[in-house]
Amino acid sequence: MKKIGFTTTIPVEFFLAGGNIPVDLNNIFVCNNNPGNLIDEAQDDGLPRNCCSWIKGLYSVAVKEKAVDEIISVTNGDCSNTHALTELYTANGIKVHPFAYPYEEKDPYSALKQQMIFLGNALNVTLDMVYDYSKITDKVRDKLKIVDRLTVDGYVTGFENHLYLVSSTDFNSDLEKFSKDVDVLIEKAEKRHIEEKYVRIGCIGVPTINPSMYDFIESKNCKIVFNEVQRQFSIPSTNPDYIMRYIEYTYPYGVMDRIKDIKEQIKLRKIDGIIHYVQSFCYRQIQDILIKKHLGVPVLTIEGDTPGDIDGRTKIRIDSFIEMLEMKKKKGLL
Amino acid sequence: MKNIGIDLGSRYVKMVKADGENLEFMRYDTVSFYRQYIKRDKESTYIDVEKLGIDKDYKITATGYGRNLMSFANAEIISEIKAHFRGALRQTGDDSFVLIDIGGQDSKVILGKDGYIEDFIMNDKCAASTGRFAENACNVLGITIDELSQMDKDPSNLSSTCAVFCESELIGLMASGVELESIASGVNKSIAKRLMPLIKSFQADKIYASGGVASNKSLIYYISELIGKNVVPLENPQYNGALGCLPL
Ligand code: SF4
Repeated sequence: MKKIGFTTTIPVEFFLAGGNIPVDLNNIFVCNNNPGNLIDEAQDDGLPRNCCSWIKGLYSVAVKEKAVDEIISVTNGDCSNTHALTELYTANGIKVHPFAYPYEEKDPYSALKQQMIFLGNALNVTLDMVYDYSKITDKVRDKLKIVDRLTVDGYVTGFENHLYLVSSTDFNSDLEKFSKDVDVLIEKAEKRHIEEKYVRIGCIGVPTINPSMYDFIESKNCKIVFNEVQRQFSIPSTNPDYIMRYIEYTYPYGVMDRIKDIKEQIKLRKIDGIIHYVQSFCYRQIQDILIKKHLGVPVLTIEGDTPGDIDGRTKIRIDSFIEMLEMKKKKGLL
Repeated sequence: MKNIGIDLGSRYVKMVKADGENLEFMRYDTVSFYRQYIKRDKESTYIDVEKLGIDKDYKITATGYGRNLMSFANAEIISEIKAHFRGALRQTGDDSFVLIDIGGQDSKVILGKDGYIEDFIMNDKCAASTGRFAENACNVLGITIDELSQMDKDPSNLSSTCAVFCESELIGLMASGVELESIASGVNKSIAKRLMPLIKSFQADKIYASGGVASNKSLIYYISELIGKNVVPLENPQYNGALGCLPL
């Protein structure tokens, strides 16, 4: 039984079916007692100040904290920073297996299947073992759909939704316990008395490095009813073809696929405005242009860099945005 | 009706005292304002009106950078965007416009349509489009803000992305003998250029400017030149946020 880390969401059943422990390096970085320290350590080793903090955190958890035995590095579908990170892992003696989501392939399905076969070889599992295991994880994914629905209905907070969906990438390295934790949340949430909030907000973009933003946003007259990437991380597709689920998964592919998904959810969840979180120095900041152009609802872009509370300037922006949406909604302009 | 509007900026605290039609304008350094006029007791924070020499019967409305860092037991707080928008409504009498507000560390552009806020956008985490950059550049060049605002000839091209690095670029230009006026004009033009992505997000016939930096004539000239439209500074640009805190 090995602890195997990964740099972004990949089919977690490959680890579980082989009896290995999945570790999403992002989750252990941001849940570390002192994530800021991990960034400092990476910078001390020479990672540039103007490089995304997630990369620095991912570097330190593996190289400094030695949190995992091996790593699956996603070299296509995330950013090119991961390529350089992979080189650093290898140079530090960590065994790395690459995994590439198809990009501009003529036949993405076959390309992805081939990648899954490679992944299976690295982890000593067959696709059939993985398919079988997905029947077990599907039960947990069904529960996460309930959590998401309860978020739309107002019983689960934006932060809880973020936390549980984002944790499903590795099920907190303990599927059974995670499943029970979800049960507890659902039971607790269903009994809650819900407060009527006026404005309905959707959060999109890479998961924030400052989760305290959730409680700040919801301390205003609004409810967060959607976390785009976190929901995608929970693999919402129920396609009977396991490989197709990861073709329908939007995060590793082009922004237009993401926009299509977001627009559908805006409609379904009756969202009044979108908060687009971007990470400092991330290439996805550029995609903000297309997001603003195509969504058809007001979009506020906020930027986070290092872990900790959101700064005063970001709070001012959120405040004004919610206030603007409130006024527009009252006048029937949304 | 007696009202006080307070805009707690990052550099200055601006205050407008309104007794009916009668307006009185006051300005304080932010740090000394917090030190001298903010009172704390066990439960809350107050604006010390007595010390400010204001009668108790004034209703206080405040906005600004301090908004989320502090809440005042004796003041109603509104968002900066709302305050600036309302300030412009009040000062112009128009209800559809683009307002460019250039503050000490934030710049923002607000699109007003038929009397409500249609949309707004603020600068990203970079001070190169704000008043703080103009101030620092003046320190480096050894000129006053007033002098800077007159300089609009033959602007040097400043290429640094970062406001701090730009300071050493200014020194480099001086060392290589470039005219001071040309460098200072370059500073104004570079702030104008940094504002373009924000300003170009919105379209309107009337474009106004507020914030302390709006009194910088040269900057307004370059912004107007770059967008090809006339930008009009508000009558009291620096007090726009405070004016917007007063009832309309
Ligand atoms: S936030 Fe952006 S730059 Fe950072 S790891 Fe993710 S994709 Fe790469």
